[in-house]
Amino acid sequence: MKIGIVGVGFSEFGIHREPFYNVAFTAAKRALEDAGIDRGEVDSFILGGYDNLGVGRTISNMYAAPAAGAYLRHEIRVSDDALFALPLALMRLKSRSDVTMLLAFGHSSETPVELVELQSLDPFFHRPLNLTLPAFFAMQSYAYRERYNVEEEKLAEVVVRMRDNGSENPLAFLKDKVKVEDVMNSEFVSYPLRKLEMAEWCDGCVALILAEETIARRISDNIVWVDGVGWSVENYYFDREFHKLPFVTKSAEMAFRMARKDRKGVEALEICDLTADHHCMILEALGFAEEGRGWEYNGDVNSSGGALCTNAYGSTGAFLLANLAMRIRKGEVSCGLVQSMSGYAQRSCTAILEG
Amino acid sequence: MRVAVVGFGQTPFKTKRKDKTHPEIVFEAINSALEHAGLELKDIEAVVYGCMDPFDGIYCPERWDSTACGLEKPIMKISTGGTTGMTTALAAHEHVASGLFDLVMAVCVQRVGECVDAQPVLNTAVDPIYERHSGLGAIHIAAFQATAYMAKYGATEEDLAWVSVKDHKNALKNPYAHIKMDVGVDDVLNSKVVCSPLKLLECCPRSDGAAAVIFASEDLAKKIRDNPAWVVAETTISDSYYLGDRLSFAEWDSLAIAGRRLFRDAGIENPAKDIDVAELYSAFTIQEILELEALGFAEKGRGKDFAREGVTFIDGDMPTNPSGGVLCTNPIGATGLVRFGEAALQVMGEAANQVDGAEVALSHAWGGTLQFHTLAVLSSNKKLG
Repeated sequence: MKIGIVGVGFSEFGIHREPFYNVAFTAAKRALEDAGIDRGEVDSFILGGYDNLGVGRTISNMYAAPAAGAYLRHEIRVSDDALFALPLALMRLKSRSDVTMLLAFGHSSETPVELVELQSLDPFFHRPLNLTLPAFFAMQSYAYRERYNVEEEKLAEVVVRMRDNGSENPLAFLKDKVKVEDVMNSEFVSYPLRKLEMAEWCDGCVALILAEETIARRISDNIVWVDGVGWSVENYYFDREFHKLPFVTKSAEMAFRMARKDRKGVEALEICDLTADHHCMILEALGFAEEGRGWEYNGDVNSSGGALCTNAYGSTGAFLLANLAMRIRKGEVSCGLVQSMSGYAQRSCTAILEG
Repeated sequence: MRVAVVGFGQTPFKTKRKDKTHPEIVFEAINSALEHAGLELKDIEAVVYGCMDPFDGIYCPERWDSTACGLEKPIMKISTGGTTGMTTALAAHEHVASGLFDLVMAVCVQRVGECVDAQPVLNTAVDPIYERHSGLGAIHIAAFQATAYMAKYGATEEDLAWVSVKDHKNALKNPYAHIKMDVGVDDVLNSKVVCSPLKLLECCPRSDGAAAVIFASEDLAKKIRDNPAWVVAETTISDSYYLGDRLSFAEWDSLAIAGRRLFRDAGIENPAKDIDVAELYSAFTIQEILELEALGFAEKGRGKDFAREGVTFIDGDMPTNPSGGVLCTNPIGATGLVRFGEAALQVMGEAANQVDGAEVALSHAWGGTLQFHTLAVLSSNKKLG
């Protein structure tokens, strides 16, 4: 049984001051309009996004589910980056749903994300270190740069390329181009990471309409198939090798196995580059670049601008997914891979899409 | 694909588990479920994890607790309020029903003892502009239900108290239950008022602990044990956001709609006749009465009589919450999974407070401000419909 994406809807990505269910509603409505179906034709709703401290309120699906149109319908929320909700949507469709909406929501402006993430550290060993997310990412960057002698300029060039891509994407949060000097002269957030080398938080929602194959063919003649999904977890404790991301490899292997494909067939990538170094490390973990050489990868990666241009905490992975799906629909590429991650670089989800 | 429960484990539940860390409590439940199924952790292919984070003093605890779940496994986190335990079970069920996995564990944990007061946390769930200032929490909402039901159907405080008497008697036979007290109607009526008309012994506690359920595909389930609990049907429903939009507090119409769908899928025409036992998410006495009526076990206005008449006692015609239910044990984000696991034990014939001859069981959870319901029917393999 194949599962396909038949509708995509985005809200604007930025800092939203209006009631957030309106933002979620915008994305859901646009996805339904894009699919040309009514809310009543959706039998299941899978939500993806954070809870409590991550969005400033608990049981966040209470306000997001009605906005998606889940009134009196089946609804479950995956509490993570929303790409992790894709496997559950896929499984729901394979077992008993005809049409499922995946609604991704990210509302990080409600909350100081760095402080919030600090609370995910165990109270005995890690929390007393006050190691914020940027500080941890900086440790990874330091390890990566030291291990492979990667020059700062090479990473700045990655940022420039991604910001160029973002400038071409009307959906992106950051659309201004930057130069290498801008990156290298931007302030240190946590050494050696500079401000422009890191993703900036924003808000936004994405909705996707997915359907089982026979139903999908009735809804659309331009379907993007979800061929494979994979998700994985890394050791929680920091006794890991900081210069690489083996859990990303693992999630990709699972997705490729399910898709019965290998890297050769993949024409485009959308990856969750929360830092310029992550951009390189993910490419290497996915097997598209040699270790320590991710910065020189010149393939089709993050044409959306990636997380470095749009990082709505909670919906970033779905933003990347939807951008890749749109490109496949337009015929720009026929097969692509999307990857996202969450936590202190601990969890990864990967999906393989095909036109 | 048919899916069955092949293992259930839980920790003892207490006000505060000071003896173990978050992942250690999870590990305790996992080991208990594995032991029940006769499996090892390496046998499990994927894990679905549920928790309501804000009570536990740690954000996204699945990250830490993954150390207890087997690091090589895909892990997915579910959180949907009070229904979390049941939606975690349903998500784990999807893992197997989809054909992607053969052996999957659902594990839920709550360490609400870390939280000074759960009600202000729950208050953050409601809309900050229209409803939050009212101080709404779970107790207040249940009090609305009790007041509305008593006014409409003439239920008395004594009617409600009998539900508490029944659950507390059942909990005495459950080695894992949190509150173990032999209480009579007068004890309930004389306990202090928490939110009128609900009194202390009519309100659930807050419990620390964890539960785990192992799901298997059909062939594997038959190999693992000779009495698996088959998942016959499951459903969830999501109502509108605002509490003020509920049509009535004297009836639970969203549960009635969900129940109708569930029974249709399960092939159940007469739930009162076809279902032998129910583990209901009755966090407050009034809620069991509303649930009995919404699910068709009692006619409208009759649910109030069931406990008093003994119908819902262990030897009655429609036994409810033989485990002692939520009124005696409430690890909020794990409570639904305890309902599910206890329902599975009943149809396996292995419950601590076993209903004689139980072949079909229903489990239920509600969440949000009366917004969500999750339901499942489990069977020992009895043909339904």
